Amino acid sequence: MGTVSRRYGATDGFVMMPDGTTHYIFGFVDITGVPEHMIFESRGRAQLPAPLLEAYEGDDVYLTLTNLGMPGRPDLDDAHTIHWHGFPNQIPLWDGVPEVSLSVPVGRDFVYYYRPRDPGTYMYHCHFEPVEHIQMGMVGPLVVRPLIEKAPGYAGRKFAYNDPATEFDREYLIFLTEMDSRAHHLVANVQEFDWTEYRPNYWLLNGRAYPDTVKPAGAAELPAQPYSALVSVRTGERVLLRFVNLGYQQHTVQILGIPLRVVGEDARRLLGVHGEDLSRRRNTLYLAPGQTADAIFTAPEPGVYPLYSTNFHRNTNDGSSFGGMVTEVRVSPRRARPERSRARPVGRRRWSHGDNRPVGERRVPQHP
Amino acid sequence: MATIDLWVKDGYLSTPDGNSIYFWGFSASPDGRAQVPGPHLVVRQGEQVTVNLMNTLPLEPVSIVFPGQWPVSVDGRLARPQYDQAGNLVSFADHAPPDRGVISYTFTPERPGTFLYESGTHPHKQVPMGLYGALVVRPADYDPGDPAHKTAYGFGTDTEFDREYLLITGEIDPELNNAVGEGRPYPVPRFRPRYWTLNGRCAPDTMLPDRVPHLPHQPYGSMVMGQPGEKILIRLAGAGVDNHPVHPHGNHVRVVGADGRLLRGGTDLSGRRFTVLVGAGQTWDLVFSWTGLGFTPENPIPTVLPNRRNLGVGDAGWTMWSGSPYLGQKGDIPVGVVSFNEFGEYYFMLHAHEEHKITNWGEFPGGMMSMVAIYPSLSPAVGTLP
Amino acid sequence: MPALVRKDLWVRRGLLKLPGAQVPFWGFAPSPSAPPVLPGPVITATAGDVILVTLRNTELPVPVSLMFPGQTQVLTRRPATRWKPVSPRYEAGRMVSLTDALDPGTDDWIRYQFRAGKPGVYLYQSGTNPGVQVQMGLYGLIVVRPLGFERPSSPNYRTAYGARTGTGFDIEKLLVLGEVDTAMHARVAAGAEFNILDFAPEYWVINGRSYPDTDRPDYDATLPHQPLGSAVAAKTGQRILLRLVNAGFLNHTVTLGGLHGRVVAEDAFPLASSELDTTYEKTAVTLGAGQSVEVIVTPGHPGEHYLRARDYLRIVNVSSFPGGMMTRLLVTA
Repeated sequence: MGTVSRRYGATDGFVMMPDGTTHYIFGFVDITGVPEHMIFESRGRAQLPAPLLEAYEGDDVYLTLTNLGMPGRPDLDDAHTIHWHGFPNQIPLWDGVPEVSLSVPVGRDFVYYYRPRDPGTYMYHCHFEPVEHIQMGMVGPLVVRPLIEKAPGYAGRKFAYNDPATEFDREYLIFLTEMDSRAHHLVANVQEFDWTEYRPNYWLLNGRAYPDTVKPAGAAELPAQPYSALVSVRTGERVLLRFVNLGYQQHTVQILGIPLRVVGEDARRLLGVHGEDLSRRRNTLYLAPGQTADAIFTAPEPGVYPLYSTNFHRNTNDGSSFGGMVTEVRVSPRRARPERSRARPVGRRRWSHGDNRPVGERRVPQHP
Repeated sequence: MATIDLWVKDGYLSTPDGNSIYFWGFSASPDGRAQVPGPHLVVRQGEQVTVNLMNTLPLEPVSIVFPGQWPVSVDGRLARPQYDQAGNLVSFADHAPPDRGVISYTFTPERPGTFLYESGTHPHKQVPMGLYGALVVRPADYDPGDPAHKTAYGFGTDTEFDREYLLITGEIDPELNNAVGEGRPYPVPRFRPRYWTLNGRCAPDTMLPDRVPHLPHQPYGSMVMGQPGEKILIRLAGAGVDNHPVHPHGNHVRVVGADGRLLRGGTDLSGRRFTVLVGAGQTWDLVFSWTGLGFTPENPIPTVLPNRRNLGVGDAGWTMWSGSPYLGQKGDIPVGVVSFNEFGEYYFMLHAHEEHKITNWGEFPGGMMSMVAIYPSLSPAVGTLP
Repeated sequence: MPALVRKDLWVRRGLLKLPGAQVPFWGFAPSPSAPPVLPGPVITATAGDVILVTLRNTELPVPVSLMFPGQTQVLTRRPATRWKPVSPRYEAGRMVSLTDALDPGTDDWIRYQFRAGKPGVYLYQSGTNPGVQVQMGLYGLIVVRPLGFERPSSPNYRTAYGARTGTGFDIEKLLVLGEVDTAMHARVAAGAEFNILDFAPEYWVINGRSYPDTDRPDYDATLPHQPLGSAVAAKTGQRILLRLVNAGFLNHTVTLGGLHGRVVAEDAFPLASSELDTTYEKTAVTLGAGQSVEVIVTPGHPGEHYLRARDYLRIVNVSSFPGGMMTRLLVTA
């Protein structure tokens, strides 16, 4: 089994919406391998969503959280934590709930540990003042890959779970959140927000609102939102969509013309006690906050298939439509070269210097 | 045969932020106080149940409906909806007239499980006002002295449990309660909850024991307690008008039942989830178990625990942490922080993941949140329903 | 033999009658002189049939379209074009319609065609500015029958999804859920701007009607734009198939009036087959926007029940009970 070591900084930053507005966020930034004397250059460079954390089942995962402070809110001395949402049998020490264990004050480090045993799609987020910190953007995706990928006969192939029926060719993250820009504005300006008045006006896929969702990964004009939500595949390919809802609203999403087969929910393969395949077939996926779903489809004939919220009033950017939770599944012919855009960059990239080259020490095999 | 008497009364709910909210609730005795939720009703499969309802509200008729129980009879005939003289629907079932009216319902639960009971009269008002509760039907072969027969759904249904808890979700818009209390019309489309409740309480009151004296109208706590490896049955019931995604830390739950039915028709559909959407008017039976990762002082954690003074311990001067990574151990807590940890137990939060719902009128912590506490040892008397 | 099922739909303005309000709406009409109806005319086909819908619009000053969630390989054409797969429409690089649309004052019509590959209940909706147009009433239902549905000798006879799916029924009821924001309707119908963030419905409908109108019979003369009632009358032991489809923007929970029902299909996929039965029982079901849930209730005893939104703030008309998303289920011996 391997060891995955990462170091994330907790800090703040700004995201951009397609209507030209900019919004203050809290978030995480990957500072793995950054020399100690340089980590503070990542202050104010939080990304939304937080960096994708990946491991194989059985890996030892060490995640160091460093609280870099909030240059946009120098008055704010909030601590932060990491809660790995859905990891079974965690002990409170590493569960990230400050009321029942530890939190990380400004300028301090803490190492979280877990050895994941169950493949699937998870999420992680800060649990300090969670109502504020989650809405402000301290949310990220977490993928545990199955060991079947390392088994003889399966090497080089990709699976959602330890089940050949969950094999796929490409995978994309669909990470659902919302943003109430009034809350962000008030937090930026050291004002109170009544969270019972939460009324989002932006709805996001992978931290972006349409049409930014279809821009490529690492688009230079979206430095804090590196993950594209464009699904770009070829006819006949098996495509895994990893849905995460870390907003505060229940969402329903649909791909026009493409039914889905949900093979896993909450990082559990949908299997009966006798091994029956209990995958759910769906035209519309209903996901509540804190839930994940893994859905597979086989890419149909070439064309553009829109993906959108069926809560149609949410496909908007602050009242301007189309916007919000809309993206595209672009299917190209079998022999065509795939488009270069991906739901997320390969490996780890440093956006802080505008450098799109991967600098990660470990590249997980993914898109062909 | 079980006979249950319920009085409809009014009272004032208490919220942790100091608010006091007028409500209507059921009471189990003529001298008792109105409570929310109504008394947990525990009956046995196949045994006839009679519920006598006494209504002390001066102006409103009140009825009770028992979703999932039918037929329900009144005076030897089927319960039926009530209409006013103009033909407008008033109640989904025969009601007790205002000002000390009475009505009596009789039914025989045919199947075990977790069910709701609630007002069937002007439910847009009476249910948010607090006229709801839960009904647990024990399987006919239930025997708490025999582990194989201490089950949610009967012998051989893979629903054995060591302890059980009943958690009922709800939400409160004080403006609705105030309007009703003052006899003012309430504009329903403006409903906006400010409090979200488990068993009628908001966090941190949810973590207090049952029947604490200063919450006379909210007798039920929501602290889930158990030992490592135990099967803890959590019965979740959605009595409010909204759906709530309930996320327990610490482990997945196995969802074994829904709406009073074992999730095993042709196929065993029980599945493990880390967030369960408690839909309005629905119930879910979950089995939670925490076995841990095997860390003990002899098998230590693979990370170095830094000096506590370099870390945040607790929030606002208190913590529920023991100061130790290990179950049953206590460690250093920095000076100035009070630890409410008793025996080195572990706490895992259990909460609505629509995070604005874990506030009391916007202030975290609060709302629909409690804890699962794993103790190194715990009395078998903890985690029982009547 | 698979048939070609033709349907002509005209987009027209109409007036919804809700308890205490008259609300302008946009709906589909089966002819240019017929009243538009909510939900739109039911399109019925048999699995394997090709459905060909012709959409016309002579009344609204906006582009309109049809999309068919749950269907695959939908084709479209206009008078001067050939059949081609549907695709979103863009303006200045931004999607403005989820599917091909008909512009006002241009072509006479736009057509959509697809093979109704499998049985079930499906929505059709406007794919153009759906946040406005679907709310205004541009939605309807497609019912696809299994082959042999009407042939008593067929194992699929009077089943929703065919033999061995546990979907045989004696009574069938389509229940299309929705909500109506009267202020939005008034503004949009008048051509005024409406900020979708202000969406705040105060009427809750089943088949376009709010209680007590839900209790009125189908094709009631007083409700020319809302022809479908939703009250159910059954005898004990009859299998009542409730085909719940959420055409609204919000999620809705419907209780089965205190009875248990067996969920037999979700999103037009049956839950049982000859190999595996994954049906389950519920007293209430929650439907996300755009979802369908089909339940068979087999009452064992007589009784008078109300199928209703379990969000009890939605069984009112604006603020007054009774109303909204509620309908009667009467079971006699």
